[in-house]
Amino acid sequence: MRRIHRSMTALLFLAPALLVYGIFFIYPAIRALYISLFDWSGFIPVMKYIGIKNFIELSKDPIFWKSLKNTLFFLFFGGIITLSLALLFAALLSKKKLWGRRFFRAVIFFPVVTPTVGLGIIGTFFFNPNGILNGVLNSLHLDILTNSWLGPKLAIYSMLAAIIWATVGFSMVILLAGIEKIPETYAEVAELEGAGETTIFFRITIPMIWDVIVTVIIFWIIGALKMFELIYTLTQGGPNWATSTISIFTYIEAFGQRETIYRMGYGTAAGVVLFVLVILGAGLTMSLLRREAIEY
Amino acid sequence: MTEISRNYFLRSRNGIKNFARSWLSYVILVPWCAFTVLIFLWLITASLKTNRELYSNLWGIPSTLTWENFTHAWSVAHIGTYFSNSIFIVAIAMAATILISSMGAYALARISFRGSTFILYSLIGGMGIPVQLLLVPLFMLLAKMHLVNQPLGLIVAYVAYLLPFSVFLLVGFFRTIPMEIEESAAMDGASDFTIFRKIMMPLAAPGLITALIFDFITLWNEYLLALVILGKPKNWTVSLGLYNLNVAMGSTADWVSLFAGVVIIMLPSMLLYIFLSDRIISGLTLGATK
Amino acid sequence: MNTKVYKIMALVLSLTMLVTACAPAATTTPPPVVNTQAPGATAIPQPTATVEPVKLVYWGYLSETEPLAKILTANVDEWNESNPDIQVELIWQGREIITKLRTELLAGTPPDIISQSDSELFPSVVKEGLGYSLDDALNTPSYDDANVTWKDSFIALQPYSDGHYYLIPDSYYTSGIFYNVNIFKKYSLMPPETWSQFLSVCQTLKDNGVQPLAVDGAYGFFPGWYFTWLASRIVGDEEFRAAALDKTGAAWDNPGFLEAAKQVQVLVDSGYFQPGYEGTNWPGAETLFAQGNVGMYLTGTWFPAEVSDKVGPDFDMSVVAFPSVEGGKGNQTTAEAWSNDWMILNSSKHPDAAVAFLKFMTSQKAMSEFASVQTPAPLKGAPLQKWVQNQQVILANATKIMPRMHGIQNDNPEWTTKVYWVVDDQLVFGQLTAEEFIAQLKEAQIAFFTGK
Repeated sequence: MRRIHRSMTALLFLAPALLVYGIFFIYPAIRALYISLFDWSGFIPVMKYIGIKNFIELSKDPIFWKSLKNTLFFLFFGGIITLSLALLFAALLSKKKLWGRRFFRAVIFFPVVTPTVGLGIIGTFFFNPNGILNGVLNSLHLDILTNSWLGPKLAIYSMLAAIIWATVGFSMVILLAGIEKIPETYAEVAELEGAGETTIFFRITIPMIWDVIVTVIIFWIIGALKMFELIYTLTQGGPNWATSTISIFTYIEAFGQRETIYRMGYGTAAGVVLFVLVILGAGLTMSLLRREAIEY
Repeated sequence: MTEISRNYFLRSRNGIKNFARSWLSYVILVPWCAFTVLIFLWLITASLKTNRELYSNLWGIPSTLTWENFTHAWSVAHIGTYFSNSIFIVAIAMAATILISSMGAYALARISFRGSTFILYSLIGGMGIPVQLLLVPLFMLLAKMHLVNQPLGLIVAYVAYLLPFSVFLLVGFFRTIPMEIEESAAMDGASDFTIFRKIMMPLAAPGLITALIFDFITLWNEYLLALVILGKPKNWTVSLGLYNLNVAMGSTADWVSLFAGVVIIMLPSMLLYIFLSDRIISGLTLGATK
Repeated sequence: MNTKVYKIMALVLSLTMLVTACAPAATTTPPPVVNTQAPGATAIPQPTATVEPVKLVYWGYLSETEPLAKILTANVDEWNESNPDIQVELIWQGREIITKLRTELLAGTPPDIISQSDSELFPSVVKEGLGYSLDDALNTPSYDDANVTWKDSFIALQPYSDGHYYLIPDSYYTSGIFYNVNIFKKYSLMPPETWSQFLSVCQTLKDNGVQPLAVDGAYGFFPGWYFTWLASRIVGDEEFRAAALDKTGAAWDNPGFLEAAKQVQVLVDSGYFQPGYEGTNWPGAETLFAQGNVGMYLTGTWFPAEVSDKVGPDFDMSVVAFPSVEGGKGNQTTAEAWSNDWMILNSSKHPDAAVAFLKFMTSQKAMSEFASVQTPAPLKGAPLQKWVQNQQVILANATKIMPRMHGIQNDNPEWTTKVYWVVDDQLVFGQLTAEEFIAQLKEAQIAFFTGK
């Protein structure tokens, strides 16, 4: 009796969420899936059904593959670097004896709360050939190191650096909390047994925060794959598609503007691929890396 | 060696080690943080220069404090209007999201019923959907409901957009609350709704705050949905206005006003951060580490 | 805990209420107030029922704060004052206007008039048949002079490929080589008319320590202009345009194209472009030129408007047509021209009112101040600001007018972005030789068309 009663309550509680979500999120998403099967400019309600032709065309489109390559580049290298840095910072900041811990933590986290449009604008001036980075190098008489940071060869690395700087704080803070939750007794005992700090870290700390690490990885995967505003503001996916990701490619193909391409169906198909990637990435990570959380 | 002297030995050895360790920490942390601080300082000084000064004196301190850049950005470039629009839209969207998602999360976390896992995964899976996909179909739907070109349509879209993550976060929170509290209240005859209101919500406050903060950061930043759903410039949000300013200033090269605009828009985040940083970080971490 | 949550909710709610009180404009805009009778006007006795004014919605592509936008806004206000029966609501949407337009179109509530550059309008709304054909309206008298048709009041108009006219220009631009007058005087240089003269000017500048050319490498548009012009001058305008559409790619085998690529390579190898040009993004190159550090700059005549407040007091520049190439088929009698335009949408309920409005906006008086913001007005005999004075010469000498970038952007924007600029950039950045460039262009083009 209570079970049924509770189910009713549950549905009541869920109703507003499901209603809003279903109508304004799921329904458009399904429509989008539908649109990806059409050839459509997006201006007039005339659509031509072409089945999976968009997807076939995507598979032959060198710019799509380039965008995919860039996306994976940001995902893997960005992920490895960001997460290693985040872990490193978290490890350093977990030592209570360190003076200025809270300040460091705050400053590292700060870019995360700043609007990405603002970060992109700052980045434009930072990487400009006459901008901050080259200016500093020049004044330090390191002229040979000056470069065109947003030029075709280096743009993707500059973009990677910008992404890492803007997002490391987020992962760090979560990892830090995980570390701080571990009771100190474990580390103390290990120290008394003669274990060094690195051993303690790798043999004790990391396994104990493993589920937190997995969570952080999944957040990163989702965020990195979908990332849009920072890249669009800083490089618009350029120069010449050098920093284009699937997210950017989807937008440019569907909505044009500076590149006056107006292919809604095609762009949406790329977006569907992106969605599949996210599901795959998150799912694989969870199944491969998830372990039983160590209770303590 | 006796036990005691062994301990002394270890501790003094560790003392030296600790000293060395913290130097290493500083070597790593200080440059990174100095860089971040300097960048933002640069932004603020740049926003107080004139355009000519920006080119000639990229790094230094402005000779005069050109506050006009701020007034220019606020009124002429309408950042002021965009600001209030954003606050209006974001505040309502956040309040609605918290309400709806906490109710839903409570149900999903506490009450097991058939299909609850499916619903949970569908909600969380939404985090993976790129917003570009939703733009056109969502717009057409909202247009049919006459919700476009006005803040209400964007608010509704934002609530839907925030639900996956908020629910995910709050479900985690609710699950950390021990069942006994609930059960004893139920035994005392409290209805689900009362339990929810009087017990669960207060206990989940850190989670709610975390969700609020996340929602704020997401929405303050959000560009594409606002671009498509809001029509006239007087309805624009801050991110739209800033992006437009970026393009417009590019043509007239009024970079300093642009920087002033960026600083203005960063202010709420900065203030929020300064006053709530501990809260943010502890809330964030509690939620994610469950 | 209890109180904390409530406190925060209270804060949120009070913020909301505060903002609602302060930002009433955040909801709907009231329609413009209209008097069907101006007070004090010599009144023709009106019937008791006043006629509802026609309301037109006009979307502009600029931002409100831009100088040209201010002039246009003033013009619209003037129109609204003197035309109570046709009221125009002007909204400055910014450059993402086409994105916004598309959603409005799908929702069924588009504006009556929009504006944007023709390169964005043609492949989008005009191609989809959303433009109102102005063929008839253009043959009616212009605003200023009843003996001149509206069409003839313009320097030129560009029809769409179907032969009809849909766009009315608010400006008129050509492309050419801008040169720094002071630098040229200093080294006794004449603006080049042939390609060999051009190269020798570059070399002289370089020998004297002046950067000959500047280009924004990061946006494929600017580097691509060099090959476009060279190819057209050597092989021919229409041939170039057709080669871009050739699905077999065989058109690029014409030796003239290889020659054009070789000449681009000469520029690259001689180091005529500014250091770091591969990564410079707009407006980097024009800023360098405006600061007096560069001798010549290939761009469109929209350019002075962007740098007018960046230049020093002595700065002076002028513009000449892209040089002809000796032995080439094309010579300086072809010029490019394009504009930013207004378009009336087919869905408009009052196209005639819109036409009347646009006639006013393209009158001599309405456009009289364009020169002061360095915008060349598209009207015959309109005054031009000093720096673009030569535009008239370039256009007067032209027997043939091509669209911007010789039409390839309008014809096939996807090809331009994903094939042409991708390969051309590599040539300009010195990553490909001229032969490799042609080979890769062919290959990419074939792949592009077969992939469709």
